Amino acid sequence: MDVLNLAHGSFYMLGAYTGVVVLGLTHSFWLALAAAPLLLALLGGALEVVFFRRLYRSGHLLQVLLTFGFSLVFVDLVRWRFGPQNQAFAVPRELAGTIPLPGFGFAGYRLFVIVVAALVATALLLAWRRLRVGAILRAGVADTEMVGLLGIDLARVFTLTFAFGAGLAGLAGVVAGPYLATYPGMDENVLILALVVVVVGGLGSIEGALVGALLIGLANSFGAFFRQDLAVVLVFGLMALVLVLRPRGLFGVRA
Amino acid sequence: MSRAVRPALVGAGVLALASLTFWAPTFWVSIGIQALIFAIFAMSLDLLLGYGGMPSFGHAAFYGAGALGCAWIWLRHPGIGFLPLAAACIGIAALLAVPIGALSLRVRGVYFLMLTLAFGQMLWGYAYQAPREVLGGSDGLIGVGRPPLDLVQNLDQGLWLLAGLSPRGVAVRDFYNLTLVVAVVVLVILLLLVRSPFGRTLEGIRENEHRMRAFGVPTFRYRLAAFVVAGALAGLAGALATLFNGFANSGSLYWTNSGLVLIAAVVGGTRSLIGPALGAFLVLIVQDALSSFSQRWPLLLGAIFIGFVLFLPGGLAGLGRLSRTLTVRP
Amino acid sequence: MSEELERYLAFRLRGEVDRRGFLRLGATTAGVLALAACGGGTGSAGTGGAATTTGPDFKIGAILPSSGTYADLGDSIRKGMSLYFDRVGNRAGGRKLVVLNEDEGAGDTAIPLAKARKLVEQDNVDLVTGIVASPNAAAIRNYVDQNRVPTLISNAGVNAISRALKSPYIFRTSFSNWQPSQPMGKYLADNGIRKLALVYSNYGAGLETASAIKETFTGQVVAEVKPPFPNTSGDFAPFLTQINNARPDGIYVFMSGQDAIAFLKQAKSQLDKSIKVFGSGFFVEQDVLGAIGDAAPVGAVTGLHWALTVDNKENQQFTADFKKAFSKTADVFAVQGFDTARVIVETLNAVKGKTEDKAAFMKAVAAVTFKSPRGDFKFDSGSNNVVNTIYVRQLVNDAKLGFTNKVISSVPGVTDPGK
Repeated sequence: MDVLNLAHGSFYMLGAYTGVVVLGLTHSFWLALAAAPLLLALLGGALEVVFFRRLYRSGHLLQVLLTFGFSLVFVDLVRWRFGPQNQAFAVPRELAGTIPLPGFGFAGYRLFVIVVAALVATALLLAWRRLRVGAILRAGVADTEMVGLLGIDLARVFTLTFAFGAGLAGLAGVVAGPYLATYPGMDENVLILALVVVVVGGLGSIEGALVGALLIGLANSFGAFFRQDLAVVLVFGLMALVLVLRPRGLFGVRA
Repeated sequence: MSRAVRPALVGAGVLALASLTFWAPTFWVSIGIQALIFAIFAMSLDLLLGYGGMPSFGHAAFYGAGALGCAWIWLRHPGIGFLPLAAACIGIAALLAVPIGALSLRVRGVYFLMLTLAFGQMLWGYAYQAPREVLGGSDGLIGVGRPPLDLVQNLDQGLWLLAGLSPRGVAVRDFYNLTLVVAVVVLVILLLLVRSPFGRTLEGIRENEHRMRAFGVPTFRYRLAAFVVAGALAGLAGALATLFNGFANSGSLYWTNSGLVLIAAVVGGTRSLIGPALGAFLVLIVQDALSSFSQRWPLLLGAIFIGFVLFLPGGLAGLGRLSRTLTVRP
Repeated sequence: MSEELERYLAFRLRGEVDRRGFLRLGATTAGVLALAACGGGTGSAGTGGAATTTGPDFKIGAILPSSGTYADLGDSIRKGMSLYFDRVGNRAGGRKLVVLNEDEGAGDTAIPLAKARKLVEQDNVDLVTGIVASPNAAAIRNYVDQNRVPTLISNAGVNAISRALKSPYIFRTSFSNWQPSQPMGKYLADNGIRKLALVYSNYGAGLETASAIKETFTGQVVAEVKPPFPNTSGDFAPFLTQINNARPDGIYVFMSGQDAIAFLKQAKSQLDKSIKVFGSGFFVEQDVLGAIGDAAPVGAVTGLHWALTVDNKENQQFTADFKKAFSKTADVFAVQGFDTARVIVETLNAVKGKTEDKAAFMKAVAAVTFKSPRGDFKFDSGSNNVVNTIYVRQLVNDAKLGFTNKVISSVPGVTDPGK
């Protein structure tokens, strides 16, 4: 959609907090898992319609300013309502075990995260390449007027897409909750990594985002393993290297 | 608003700022110093962003390089004068800007934004993890003093002391005057630069690079030159910050600092030099005032940014342009 | 980029849109400000008692984070301070105590210095306290020293404040990074740990912890695993693998806040079960325990200058009062705030409210001694740092208190060397 959204991390954070609340009310992790993306999709859609859609033609800087403002607002609202402390978010019993593998044990929850990621990736790739909505989106960014002339309500498509993106971020948050810490500032770290991944993978490409995520994730982990003090330099160095050699990112489309 | 009003307003503003040392309490003068430093930082970005059309998300790297460089040099040469120290810091930032610019300027738009972010973070990562003896690690370098005052300042110092100000109050005011002079000099340099053939060419490149290349203009060199000048001036701002605060640490290079100066420039209104300076004043003062006013200050600050985008997208400088347009249309 | 802005601007300039827009902006700002004013100001605590005061208000500037990663610690310290001040009716030495809160912020070191300037020059505070993050303590040190501002650091642990950066005006009521870990080295050696892996966040506090324990640990350090600080990806798997590969008898951990939480959650299923867990008490402090639930490493032995279960009258009273007043379990940071408040009160009482003589005031601060929830409280004149009893605690799942640290032994009189 060619929108630079710095509030995306906030959607992630709100997803985690939704998980905490729903878990507290219903004691069911699975309900929390379902509720977070739904709620965030609603919020994302509403924000798009009321605020963000005015800025598609305004250039990235105004988008940066607006979405950064929203991220400040969301973080502080969460801090106001829930307090600054870390929230308890336990791993659900069903997923808490360790799977014995030759030589070491593999944590059950990590497997769950991998499975969810794989499912989401598959669904996204299918939608992007095989379904109409993917084609419309790809066309909508490349040539907005043409799509409109074809009679497609691009505004609605953009709203739904933005909502979907927000929902996914919410899902990521509720999945991350039991594995990491849930606190008001958790949006900042994930945002910067997500930006790196998307850019390395190439804007406008789902495959790119996937490959980028794997690449950056592995770089981060292996960098941490071998040269701990230079892990940050390694991750951003990789980003710089990709952009210098292949400016559009690994799978980027000509926009 | 006629053509003559704008420069007159700016001149009046500078005079008002210059008078601050006479009537404002020491604390306000301190705020003024911080605002001026941030304004220099934002104006340097405007050369790149507003005139060059190159949105950098890693400008803080040069600010931080100047800041850390200043601390490093001063701690080893405590008696060093201001001009050599400033020149060295400008040099460090400029030297750093050459390779980074050379690599980053191969891409445009949002990719340039991201690549500058990447380089900025790489430098931050290095500075943060560097051995503590070299750059202070996570705690930074402290204990930086101020360069010795020259004859003129000594004279007026005597007057201040006679007027009953404490030595500290005098020192702060002297530093304020120094910062104000530097800020005005930077503004003048940038104004001359953007009005010069170099500046015109730069704007031409921003508008339509292919056409400029067709004219035989070495566009890459122009953009790199702008990048280096912007970086050098950012380094100067960083050095001033170190001298004012008495310390420097890797935090100055972090992406949030790049983000904040970018926001100040947009809020102020890019492509006007004065706009980003005003934006810097606004962001700094508002953030400082809000954080003391209420615990909910991030909420307020966020709401203000949102308000700017929705109601004042041209920024503060846009207000000036607005009223010009309003008077034209009946 | 900017021509897009101008195009957008021109697009919006139909008629008097912008005057209305400007008014809308003004109205919105006013509305939001009004809303936030309800949301809580940062004004003074201390509603004063009924009796008359004999001098002007004693103003205390508290620089503590209310935003960012350390906001929770700042919150605890603030609450600890206000608990003690309320207990004495917000008065001491015949003067009313007024606390002015400022946000230390989250990372920009220039901000706490600016706040210190504001408190000293604009608000004319008599004393500055707070500072959670170590870089910020280093940053304000010269300012408060040169301006002779009595300062009580209530958290930041950087050793230098008690050593190279010592100042007659700066006293620390919390700890130096050296204190909790230095005695633990000997404890580990005495308890059968031959091969140790050090696991710490790679920044000042972690580094100082590591060097402290190495002073008294006589076994072999087989690995030093240093995750970045903060660990933005939140993934500790590569570090846990490194630990397992080194095959230590035990690990000594220094982490706090979000990193500790993520680390412990992941260690629960990924750390080799044969490795014993030790550490500087912060990573299993009450704030962390509240968030990790069952992932708490039961049996972990840690060293810290306090525990919820420290068995003395003051602590029992303190923890009960804290819970009742704030519905929050007390933690070590709250104790630090509580003790800081008491130092202020005791000093004011000792000088009978006369604070113009700064030298006498600082002498009174240095001489303060009382019974605190952490034991006997007194300062060491060689380091201007509090002398701490380091409690060796074991993590248990208590029937009444839930996950908490039970004191199993203690090392009294741990004093920072001061150089």
